[in-house]
Amino acid sequence: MSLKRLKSGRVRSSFIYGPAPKRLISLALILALLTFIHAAAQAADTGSAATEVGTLPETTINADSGTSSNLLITDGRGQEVKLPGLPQRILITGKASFMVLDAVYLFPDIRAKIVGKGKDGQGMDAFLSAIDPEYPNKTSLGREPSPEQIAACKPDVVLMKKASAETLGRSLESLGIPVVCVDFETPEQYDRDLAILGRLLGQEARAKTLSDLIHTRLNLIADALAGLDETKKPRVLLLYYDPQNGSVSFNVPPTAWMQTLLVKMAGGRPLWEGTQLGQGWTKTGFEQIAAWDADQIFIVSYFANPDKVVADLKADEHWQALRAVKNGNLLAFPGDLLSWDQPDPRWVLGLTWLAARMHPELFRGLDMHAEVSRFFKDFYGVDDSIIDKIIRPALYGNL
Amino acid sequence: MLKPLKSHAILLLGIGLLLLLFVSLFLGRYPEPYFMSPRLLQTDSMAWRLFCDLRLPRLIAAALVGMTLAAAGTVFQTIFANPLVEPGFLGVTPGAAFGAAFCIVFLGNQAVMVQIFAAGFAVSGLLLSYALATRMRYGGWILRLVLAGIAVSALFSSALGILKYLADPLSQLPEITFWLLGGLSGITWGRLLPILPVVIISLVIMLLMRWRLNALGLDDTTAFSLGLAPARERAILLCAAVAATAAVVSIAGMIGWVGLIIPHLARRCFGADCRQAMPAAMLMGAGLVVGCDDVARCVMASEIPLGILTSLVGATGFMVLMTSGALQRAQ
Amino acid sequence: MLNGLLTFTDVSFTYPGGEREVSRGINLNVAPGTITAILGPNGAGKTTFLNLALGWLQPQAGHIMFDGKTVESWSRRELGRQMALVPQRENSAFEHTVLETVILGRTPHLGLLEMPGNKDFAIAQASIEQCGLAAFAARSVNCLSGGELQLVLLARALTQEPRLLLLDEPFSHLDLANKSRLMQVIRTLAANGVTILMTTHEPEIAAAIATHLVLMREGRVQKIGELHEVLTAPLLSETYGIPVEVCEVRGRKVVLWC
Repeated sequence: MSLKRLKSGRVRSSFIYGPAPKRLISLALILALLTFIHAAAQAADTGSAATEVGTLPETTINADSGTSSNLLITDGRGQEVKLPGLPQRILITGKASFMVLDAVYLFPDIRAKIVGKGKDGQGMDAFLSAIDPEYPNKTSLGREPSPEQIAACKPDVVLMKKASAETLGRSLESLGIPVVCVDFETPEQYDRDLAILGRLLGQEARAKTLSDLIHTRLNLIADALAGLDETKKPRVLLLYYDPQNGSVSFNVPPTAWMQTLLVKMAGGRPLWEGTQLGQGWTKTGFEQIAAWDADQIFIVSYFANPDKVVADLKADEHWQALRAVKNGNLLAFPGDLLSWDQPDPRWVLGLTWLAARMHPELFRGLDMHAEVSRFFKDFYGVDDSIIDKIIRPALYGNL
Repeated sequence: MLKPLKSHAILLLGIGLLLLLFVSLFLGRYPEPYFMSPRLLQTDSMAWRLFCDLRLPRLIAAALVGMTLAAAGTVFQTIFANPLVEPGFLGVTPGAAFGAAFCIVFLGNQAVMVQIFAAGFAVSGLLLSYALATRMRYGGWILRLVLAGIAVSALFSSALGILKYLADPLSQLPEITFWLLGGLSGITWGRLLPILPVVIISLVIMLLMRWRLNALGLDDTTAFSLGLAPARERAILLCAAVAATAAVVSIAGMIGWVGLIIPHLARRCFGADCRQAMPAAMLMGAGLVVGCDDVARCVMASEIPLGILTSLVGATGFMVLMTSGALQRAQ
Repeated sequence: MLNGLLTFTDVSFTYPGGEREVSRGINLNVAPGTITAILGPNGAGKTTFLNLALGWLQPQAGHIMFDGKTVESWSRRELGRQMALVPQRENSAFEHTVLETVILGRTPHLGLLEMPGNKDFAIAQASIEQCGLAAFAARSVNCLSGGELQLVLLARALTQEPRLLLLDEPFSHLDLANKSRLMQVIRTLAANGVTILMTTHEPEIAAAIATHLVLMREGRVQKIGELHEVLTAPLLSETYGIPVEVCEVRGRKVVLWC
């Protein structure tokens, strides 16, 4: 290769390979770009602030005639959300969205307005399909839906739990889609979030009815337990059996979760309080279970039949040595298509059952089967034929 | 020598990337999967909003993530004279992962805080590896750095394991998992703009110093005899590479294999000289991540984690590259 | 003594943490235009000596002057334009071509963000031709023989356009033909005013090319002087610790040992 050809090669090369002055120019251009970006960042900040204050999307709301007034909702994060009217297209998504979906299904008039839903919870499909023939036709968005997919459903409002507000919620809000957060994880949140849904969906009467139903039930139990001596409260253990996690794995719930709250409200002393390691189920071993020496042990299982688990445990010679097992107090926590210990409206049933199991003398004559019928009628407006067809065959646990 | 053919090829790569970016702006799930007609922008205000506030920042983020990881990978591989290192090496990526998870578990899942923690711990991972390497009484400098990087990474990974165990399985664990698998679904202008200055300045430094980078990969004594101040100049480039990596990891999570495979590919196509390999790697890296992100957000109603796709493409590409005949062309 | 290009005055050096002094009380004066060979057995401290001259290592005692200024007081870039090193070997992790390797010699002539221009490539090309590598310019350095690589490293050092060239065992990997070619290149350089300082453990090499000779043993300079003064049987016997004879065959000195 001759020197001349080498030289000409260099001359013809593009400007980024050029001599120093040209590169200085490109450096200056980049600096100018940075300044521009900085300015744009500030503009964008004020811009997004403006949308939060309430410049509203023009096309997304098909406002009903007569409901054109603005709707101002303070949601579960304590944030004010403004809507131009009652939403006609409701989308439920984000993490653990089945909790929210269940709660929205407590409002029968709203079911038709649900245009999309997140990943289904355990066993929910069959139940919701039975009470709402349109349910299987609703768009399913999966675990981590993209904001675009949600936008394509053209919702007037998106409901999600607070856990998704920061990521997915932000993206949707930047598109001008209103996001309302509800949680439905504890009895207090049920009160708060039912009220939020009532206002948002224009179903305040129904929300009030639901809250009253819950409170009637809570008061009934609280009254029965009133004046109960602390020493009369059984020392209980609620264990979640997880067959996916090794051969035998037992977990106790965190203090703030529904399961612990239920045991306390039903007049029991949860032995595992104070042992929690993190914010989820804490794994525990047989030695610890033996050391706790509980009066009653309740077994929850989401992926294996709790009846079968309890039968297996009763056959285990280690477990046979436990006092609770000897006294016949190893019980399978009941459920139907969903276990009743979870933050699903069924927790009301779980609470009733726990109270009756821990204090049978106080709840003489309580018929759980009648309670089940009443619950589904009151909360979901389901008639007996559906209960007999869908719910009763699915019932499990030591009713 | 930079042949005109090669500079033209780089120009073509650049044009290709711009085309890809342009087409990607019209890909998505709205109003129906895959393609959005440009005409819709005039009639549908939601389409316009999506276009400006979601797709544009996301595509820019994808391009920058790719560019940064590939450029940083080139810098790391050249300086450590080792084709198997990547920008996450030296505790940077595990540090960022730990920082993000720490913030998610203990301080709440606020995007900006997670970003700050990820970036902060990424840099602290590097500092820790560096401090450990200077104190280690075993082996040469490179070996000590590698060992220190492995030790610090293991430390952060185990701490991350503890955090995952502590996390709330409903709200926090999925967040950590999605972060570890990488993804750009949460990108808005508000999250992208704060990192732009760091990323762009670092990219410019890496681009402008790319010829000198060749000399910095030589033995210490040789580099010194060429009139370089090896320690100082390597530190400049490594700082730029780590700062940019920490910044992009903080918004995108763990995006695997881009920093490892793209520099190889760029060298294979354009030669080992960083004058060509660096810009080529940047453009190829951007192309790979933009392409993978298009797949991540278009194919299913649910987002596919981006890190899974880049790893899939990267690892497959790596296998093909390592077994192809072209590798032996030099012998 | 003071007009040398490179002078060592009472230089002692110990590696950090090491116990043994690698260099002890070295005094040396390299005059411009000379070819000085540092001769000694393996481990005599020859490479350390080059690293000291380069400024890469700093002596604990004494000082090293280059062109009237201490080596440390030169800026890195300026010193890079004065002094170049040809290392013994170099491993490249990547497939750099010969030209890409040689052009790196222009580093000290270019700023932090600059890239080589036409002039730089012309100089690199000239160095490549001077070392007889024109046919290899586009080849990868990883597929060259040891001798060819040595010439590439020399070409890179020449591209620095140095006044002082430091060579570390430049002949150790070369066959006869390449040895002869390298000697030719070095002699030409010296004739053009480049000062050469090289290490070698082979007395024949020193005898064939050097004008001056430094005998080193265990970190000490045993003898410095012109070739004919130093290359004697008693001195070499002492340096290597075995009986050595120096003969003259057709005007060239040959060292015999057994």
